[in-house]
Amino acid sequence: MIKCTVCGIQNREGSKFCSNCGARIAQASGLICPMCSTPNKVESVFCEKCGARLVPLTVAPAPEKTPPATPIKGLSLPAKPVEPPATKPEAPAPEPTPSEPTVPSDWLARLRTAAPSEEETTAPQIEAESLEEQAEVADWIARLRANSSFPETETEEADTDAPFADKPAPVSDLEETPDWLRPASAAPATPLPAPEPARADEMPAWLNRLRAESAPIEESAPSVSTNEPMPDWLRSLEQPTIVEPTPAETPAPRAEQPAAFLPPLEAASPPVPISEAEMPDWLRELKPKETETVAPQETLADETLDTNLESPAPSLLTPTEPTPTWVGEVFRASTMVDEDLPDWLRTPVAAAAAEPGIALAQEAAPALEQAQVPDWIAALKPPDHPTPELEGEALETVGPLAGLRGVLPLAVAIVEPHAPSRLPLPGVRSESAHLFESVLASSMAEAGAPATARARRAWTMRPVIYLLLLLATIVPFFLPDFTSSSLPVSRVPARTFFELVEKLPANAVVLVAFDYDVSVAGEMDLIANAIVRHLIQRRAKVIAVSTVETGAQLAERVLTQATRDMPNFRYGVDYAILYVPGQEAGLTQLATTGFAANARDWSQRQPLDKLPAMVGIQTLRNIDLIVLLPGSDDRLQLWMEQVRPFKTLPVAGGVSAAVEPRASVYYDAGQLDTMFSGVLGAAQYEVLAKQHDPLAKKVGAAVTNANSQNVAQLVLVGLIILGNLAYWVARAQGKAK
Amino acid sequence: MTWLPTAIAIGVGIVTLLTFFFRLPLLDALGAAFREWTIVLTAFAVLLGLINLLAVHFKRIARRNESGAGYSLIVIVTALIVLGIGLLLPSEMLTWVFENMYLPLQGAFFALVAFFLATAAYRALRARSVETTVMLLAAVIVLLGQTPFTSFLAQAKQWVLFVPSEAGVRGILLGVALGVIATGLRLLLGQDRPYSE
Repeated sequence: MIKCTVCGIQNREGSKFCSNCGARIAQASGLICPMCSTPNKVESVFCEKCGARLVPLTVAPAPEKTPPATPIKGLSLPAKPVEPPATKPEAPAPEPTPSEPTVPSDWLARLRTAAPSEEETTAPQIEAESLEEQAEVADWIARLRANSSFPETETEEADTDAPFADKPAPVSDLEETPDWLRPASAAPATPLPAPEPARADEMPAWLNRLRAESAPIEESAPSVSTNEPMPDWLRSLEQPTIVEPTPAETPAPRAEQPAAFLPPLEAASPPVPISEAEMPDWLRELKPKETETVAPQETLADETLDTNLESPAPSLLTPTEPTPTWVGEVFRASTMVDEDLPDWLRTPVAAAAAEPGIALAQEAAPALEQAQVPDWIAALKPPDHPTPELEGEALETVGPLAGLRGVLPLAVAIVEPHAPSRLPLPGVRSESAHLFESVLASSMAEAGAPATARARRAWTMRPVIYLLLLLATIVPFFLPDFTSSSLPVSRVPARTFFELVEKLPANAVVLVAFDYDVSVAGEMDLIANAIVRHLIQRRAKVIAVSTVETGAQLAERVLTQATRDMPNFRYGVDYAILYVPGQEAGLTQLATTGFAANARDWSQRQPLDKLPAMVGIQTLRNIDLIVLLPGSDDRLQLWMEQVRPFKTLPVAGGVSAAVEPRASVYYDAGQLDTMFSGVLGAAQYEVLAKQHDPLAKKVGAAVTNANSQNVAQLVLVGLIILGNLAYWVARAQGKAK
Repeated sequence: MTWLPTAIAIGVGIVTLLTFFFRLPLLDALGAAFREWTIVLTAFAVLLGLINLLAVHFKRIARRNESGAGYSLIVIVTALIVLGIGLLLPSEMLTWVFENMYLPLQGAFFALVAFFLATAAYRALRARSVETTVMLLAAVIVLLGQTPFTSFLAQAKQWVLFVPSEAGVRGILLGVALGVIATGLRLLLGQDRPYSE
């Protein structure tokens, strides 16, 4: 629950406006997104809802002068105090020796002459206050140095018991107070008419309360109760860390202590002189000497200020350090406040800027030379011109982030092209890539060769190759058989297949799958012919099936040729041809439910139950052997996946030579009981069949084709060797040249 | 109603898958019916393919200026001739066309591959590096192992085919199988809906 700071009503978590009074509910400690008003964590850099940047991008300071910093995040609301860096001095400024000559710095002298009106309004208590500020100046400067990436200093832990708005901020507080809070603290003290208040619903509730209470608070600041609800960050300001309590803090209420550079507060805080006896020792030492030249119109406060400013500065303000022109930056920052603030705060800020003190400070600011600004402070200033890396990003035109680029990093991440990733390749892959590139380069070089050279090479080599291959395939058909006698058939796969068929019982039913198309028919027909002839010799009943559209036609052709010499082996009686449609579904149906009752054969279009060859054959259980003749890998895979798991009957394969690598996997796994491949396997099968049947007059066509194939393969090997010789000779000649 | 095709596909797929694992009369009957439907649909798919082929070539002819319209005309004319022969004339005529036109043309096309392979072997199989040398030796061993002249090379060819080559093919098959399983699961879970696109 969130308590409304105006009316005290409890609201739900996440409420932005009070359900009772409608006031905007201030988030206790968080950064309000300037784009979507979503509260974020203090340490957030980007809004967790819309991704808008909450911390402006600034120019990085010079690296040699930038100490390691703790980043301060947040822009529009005061951030929690960050742990000061190690350079923060633990003790106040070293006590100056009265006898030491103190020479005021140039920048302080200019500052003093530029702000005479403030000196008149300084209360006597400022003497002690200023001394303490000297130490605090060192603190905030140390943090400012450490947090050099942030253009503005964070809120300093004030050494006061009063609430934040109860007293005018001292110089350091004014510097450390965010811009949006300066008018809230300065406006009540101005004698000018109050600026036109912003609408209550546009302002945070706590600010409304501050505005409402500002006037009475000036008159009775101590009566302000610290128990009133207020944001955490304000409460943290209420509980300052007093490093070293000094008696100077007690004499006057905090509300009556004006800042040295703030507008006059005579009415609210008349100067109260402090007797020298009441001063502590350390303060008395800091009191200016009587001999010191003081302007007649200067007040005691001015003297105190001078003394404090002229006294030896803390370690960070030693003469070796750059001149602290932060005072000028304070006033210069007040001129920038209008563009840094939301619209609802611009009006009071404009009014505050019109006050005499601010106006005077604006006049004093140009007196500070730019060359005196240390680099680390200059780095905090927002760039006048976008840096090169931000030029391409969107420029914010409204809101407190106006003028900044790269506020929405999400868009940048989308637009920005991603750098190509370069993953280290293993050595083997790199070498393979280089080899592949070299092969491509050689082909491209050959393609880019002059047309005449390419034409000459084509005329010399390609026709020669074609002619040699043509002669190697044609001539053996006209030569007597010269390979059948030399074909090894003793320990070849074809023998295993042949022996399996030999072991079939009489009238065995063999399913022969003609699963090849016309393109490989030249090779597969030889294999099928050799097997079918053997089956017919064994008087087996052949059921030819095919899942390929043209397979049944090819089966009919092979069986017709095979039975030409065996007129007793008739279609419909001893063999039948079926077409199995449906690819996987058809084969699964065949394996599970068998042949369809209403199916017809392929050749005569008769119902299967009317064919004598199919009598008693309804499922694959009635089959004694399955012979696969796949012309491609996928056909073999089809049978192996859809049929083989359902049946335990032997399966043999006569496959194309191109399918042999795939078939060897199934053969090695035992899914194929036996197999042989190619024209050579068919020739070996025919030789085996001839050896088994002495009455056979001649070998089949496979042996003749094997002769041609053998010669063609020898020619091919010769061409490969010739090409390598030419390559190496050309390479040697190239090296020789 | 976009859920209906998905529901039908998932239901049919699951029933068909279960028929591979369980032997139940109801499952078997359902699976057999689904497979029958698939076979009929496959036959219709062939018919649709033929119609689509003819339509594409008809459109090409209609756009007269398009190149290749003459070949489209040849395709349409020959398809209609063969279709007419198969539907109107005895099957012997179709067998004659098949054995004397289709079969020689397909065989001739396939035979041309041998000449291209010979040229490619001459140019590509060169010992440029260790890898190409290994590939060259494997090719020579397999080619010579096919010939009946040396039994040693025949055994070497068997080793090449059954050891390194089979290892590679087995890996491919395992990868394909895993891919099929993944695809099947996506279909059964409705992640892939090619039927509704």
